Amino acid sequence: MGEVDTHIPDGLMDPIVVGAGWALALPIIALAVYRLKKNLNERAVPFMAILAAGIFVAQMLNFPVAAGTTGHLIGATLAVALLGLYGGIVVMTTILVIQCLVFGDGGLTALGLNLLNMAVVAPLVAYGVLRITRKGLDNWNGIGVPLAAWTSVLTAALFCGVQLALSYSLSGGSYGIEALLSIPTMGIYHAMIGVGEAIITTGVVLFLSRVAPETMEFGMRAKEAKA
Amino acid sequence: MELNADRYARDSWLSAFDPRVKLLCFLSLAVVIAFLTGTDVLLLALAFVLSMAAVSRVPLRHLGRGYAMAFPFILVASLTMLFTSGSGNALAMGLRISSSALLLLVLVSSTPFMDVLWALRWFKLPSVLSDMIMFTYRFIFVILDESGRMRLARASRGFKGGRSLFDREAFKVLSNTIGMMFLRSYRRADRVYLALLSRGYDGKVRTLSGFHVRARDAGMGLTFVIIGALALTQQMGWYVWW
Repeated sequence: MGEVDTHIPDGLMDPIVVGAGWALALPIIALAVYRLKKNLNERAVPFMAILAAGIFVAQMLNFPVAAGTTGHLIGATLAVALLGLYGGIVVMTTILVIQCLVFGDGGLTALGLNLLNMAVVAPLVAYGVLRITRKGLDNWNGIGVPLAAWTSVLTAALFCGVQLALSYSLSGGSYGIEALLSIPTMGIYHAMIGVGEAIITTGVVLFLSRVAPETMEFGMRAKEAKA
Repeated sequence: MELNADRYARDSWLSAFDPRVKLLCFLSLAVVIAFLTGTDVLLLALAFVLSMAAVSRVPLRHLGRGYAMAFPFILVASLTMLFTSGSGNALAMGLRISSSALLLLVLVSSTPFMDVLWALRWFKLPSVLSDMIMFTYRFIFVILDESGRMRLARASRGFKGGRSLFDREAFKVLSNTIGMMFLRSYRRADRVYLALLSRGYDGKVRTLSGFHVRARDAGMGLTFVIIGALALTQQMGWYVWW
């Protein structure tokens, strides 16, 4: 897949899978928006937007994976580490909507699935891992952040692989990609991409907490990042 | 990803249409195309999308560049299909992704960003999200400027980008770059916010201009409905047109 951006395009997935993606993603995003709105100070939106724009640009920086292929950041873990779960979901949603409606990256109907994988599943997994490692380990950002980054990327990719496989079997071969091909390919490729995501996310979080600890309080829920 | 995606939008003939109608039309057609599996109906859809592209007056080179970015993916998906479920399905897959990708490209390159945002607000997108989209879009270019300068500085000191995941130095440089990018942008966001405040920003957005649904918007809607209905009824076998 190399340099190509791998957001799900229109027409690849079975319509049932596409519909299920919207049905699963929208309520959770709505909840995140609602919860965020409740304790939002007016400064928060511009600061969250800076992070969203930063992740958007960081996604364009390719890092080397192996044998000439490159990967790029998803950024869900970074967003969650700086803003907490709801902020992370809203930031990732913003990025995906802009990529779709302004840059034509990722399909219109497939936006539901892209939102599910990268704006719901990835932040949820990242948040879960960060929470668990925070309880168990003192040195949270040395182990928790890379683990969260790697797991969130791999889980999101496996979700995509399963969606491809489901599309294939539901439609009897008109949509998607067969499970035996899609799931291992997505899994192995993103297990490597995830290492890059883990290294960069950890690097950025360490850099920010060393150079400018106040940026870890980008708006709200600084506790998520520090604890 | 072409960064100034709406560069040609103001010159496009389609930009004069009501963005609400346009978004709805294109979205509905994308939904219809997602259901198509027959080569004949997909060719009809592709022909219609191509004629929309011609009508939009967006330079073909611009659309072609966007399509070329998506093409390797389309090729991989179709080739996999060819080996697992036959040439008919593979061709349909290629046509389906191509026509919907081109449809979206025509939409985004013929609609100025602010019009998209205006339509999203009208469709009652929560204000947190529409404000986030507006600010983020603006900040993307601020950050790109910043990162462009940093890339130049990096390159002039001999940074090449590294060869594999084991290249520690490359990753250190990249993480620090991203971290520094956030830091500089964060400081700048502070100033942007103060500038907004001093111009009376209170979290609400007011615009002077708006759109009204005119006859030509209704015409566009009708055209999309006819094409969509034609393709869908034929695909589902509700009525066989040809």
